[in-house]
Amino acid sequence: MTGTGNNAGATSAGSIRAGRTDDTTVAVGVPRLLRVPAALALALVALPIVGLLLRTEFTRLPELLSSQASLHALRLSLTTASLSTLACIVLGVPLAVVLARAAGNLGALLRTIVLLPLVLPPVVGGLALLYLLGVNGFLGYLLDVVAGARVPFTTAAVVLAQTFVAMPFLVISLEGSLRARDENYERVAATLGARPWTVFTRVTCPLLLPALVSGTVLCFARALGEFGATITFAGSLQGVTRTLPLEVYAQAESDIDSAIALSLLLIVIAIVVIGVARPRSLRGRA
Amino acid sequence: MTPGGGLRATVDITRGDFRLRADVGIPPGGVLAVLGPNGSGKSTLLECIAGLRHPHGGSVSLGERTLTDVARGVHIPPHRRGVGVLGQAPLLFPHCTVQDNVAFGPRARGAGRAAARKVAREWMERLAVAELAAHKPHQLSGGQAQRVALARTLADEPGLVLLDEPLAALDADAGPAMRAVLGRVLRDGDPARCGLLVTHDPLDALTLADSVIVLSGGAVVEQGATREVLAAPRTSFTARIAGLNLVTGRAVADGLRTVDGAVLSAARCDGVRAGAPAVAVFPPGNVTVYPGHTAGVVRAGNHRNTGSAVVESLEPHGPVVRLRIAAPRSGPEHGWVAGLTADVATAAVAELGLEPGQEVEVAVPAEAIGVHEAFTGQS
Repeated sequence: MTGTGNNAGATSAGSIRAGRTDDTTVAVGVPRLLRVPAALALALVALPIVGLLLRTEFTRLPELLSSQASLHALRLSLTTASLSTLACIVLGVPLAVVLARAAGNLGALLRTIVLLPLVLPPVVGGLALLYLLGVNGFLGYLLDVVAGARVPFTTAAVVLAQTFVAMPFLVISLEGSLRARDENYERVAATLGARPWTVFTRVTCPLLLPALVSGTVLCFARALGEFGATITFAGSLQGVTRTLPLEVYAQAESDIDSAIALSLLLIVIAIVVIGVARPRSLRGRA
Repeated sequence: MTPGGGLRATVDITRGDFRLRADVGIPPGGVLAVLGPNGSGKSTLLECIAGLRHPHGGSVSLGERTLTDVARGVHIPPHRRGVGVLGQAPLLFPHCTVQDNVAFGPRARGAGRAAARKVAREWMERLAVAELAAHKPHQLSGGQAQRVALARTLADEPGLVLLDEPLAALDADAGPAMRAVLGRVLRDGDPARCGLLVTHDPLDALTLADSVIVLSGGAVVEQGATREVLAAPRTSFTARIAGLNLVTGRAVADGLRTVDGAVLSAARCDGVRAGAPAVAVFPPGNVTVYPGHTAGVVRAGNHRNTGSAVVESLEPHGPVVRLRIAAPRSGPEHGWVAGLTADVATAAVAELGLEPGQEVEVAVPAEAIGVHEAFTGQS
């Protein structure tokens, strides 16, 4: 689908599916029985949010959301999630391109490493970061001695933690898109006299754009929701490292209404992010 | 990019069990057609010349420039070869307009925006796609897209154009139109550019190329002027793509003794020594088909080149029906008829009630048969 429109018609088997889908189309492949678990699955996702909405005191919402702590958390969350998303793009795009063209065992090993933060419990990631960059970690010790800089429990630590957990989302999205098509466009560009850098900037990157957009959205959403690694590696200091999810957790102990209001805010932000950038996968069949 | 000169390429490459060893040359301004069955190494040869694949041995040079010399470790990367490629799929960059696609080559080589646009304009006009300049590739028909892709390839002014079945993906209307366009630009006699065309269609080879090589199993099995090679094929592959029947055997005076001992008399024998491996070649239109029960009558007549056969399949072929003939079940004495094709008028098919499995008698007049020396593997 990504940019191979020129090959249209190459597969005759595709023509059976190419018929326009509308409300008169019969879905032949979906057994009715599947509807029951499907409905349950949907309910599992949607009902808790309904529960949250039912418990919300909408009249007190403005007051709850405009508290000093909430505003700090909101600003901090948006700033750090944006910064970590930017870091993911700057570092993740080159990584994805290198990974997609890496062959054999080395490629498999690199892919496993990149996927690690995705399957690792974030708390473990936070702990790992702490023992790399903490005062007791080898890099942290070096930084402390050489530059007098301490990373843990700063806003920078929040950004690092978010980048750590969000990066795989971007890399996987881009790498999948790169591996889904062959290098034919790049090869044509090379025979037209384009040096590798020109091929990358003028052909590879533009072709990656749709995947980059959806990858960035996922990445930002993951960074925004980051909790475990942040609280382990950066702590929960208001205005410095206490992002929205951490604020929700903190408030849940003392002021549950406030926690619910902030949760609602996170849901709204999530819906806006998805609605604005609309990852490819949400569009369904065109 | 560079004033071309001719191509000289010697390529030796092994991929898995497959080994390709080919030696091709194209004079300045010339066009060479490469024919061959699937898996014969045509695309591999192309990729080695374009620099997209490293051969294990050999060299490639274009005019004075050495592009590949394995022995000396020379491998000029694709972007500095001045070798343009056009494949089956146009592969237009989907994010660029037609004009930006055509201007891509000049831009990539450092031309300014205005200069590149000027070159692009010229080529779009030459290929009659100028009015599509602002379109995106997905808005083009297959034929238009392929014309734009050709304009893009040529706008880069390559010294050599590699065309890998450029008409194969086009429909029945767009194909001939594109062939005419290709003929116009390839045959413009520009000595700065030569062309190499991979194709399955003998018509492409006849109309676009001056010489042809036939690849089979990784080796060049036939080469020469297009017309001569196609008119007198020495391998069954060449005969098939040329739409001719080919029977192998050994030359005898005025004819050919087939492998199973039958003798075909031929009007033309091309000076083949008697006893030498030879092939008899004749067009399907000259094969006459009679109902099986008339065998005696047919043999008693003037036809010497006759054989019993069964109809294997029938398929429409333009205004006629093309019959594929198999050997009769009864015995091997007419084995030479196996695999022949015969063109029969549609009305005659109905009249004779021809259908697969039916026994027939085939006859080929001596006037239709030419006997040529066979390819023996060392030519």
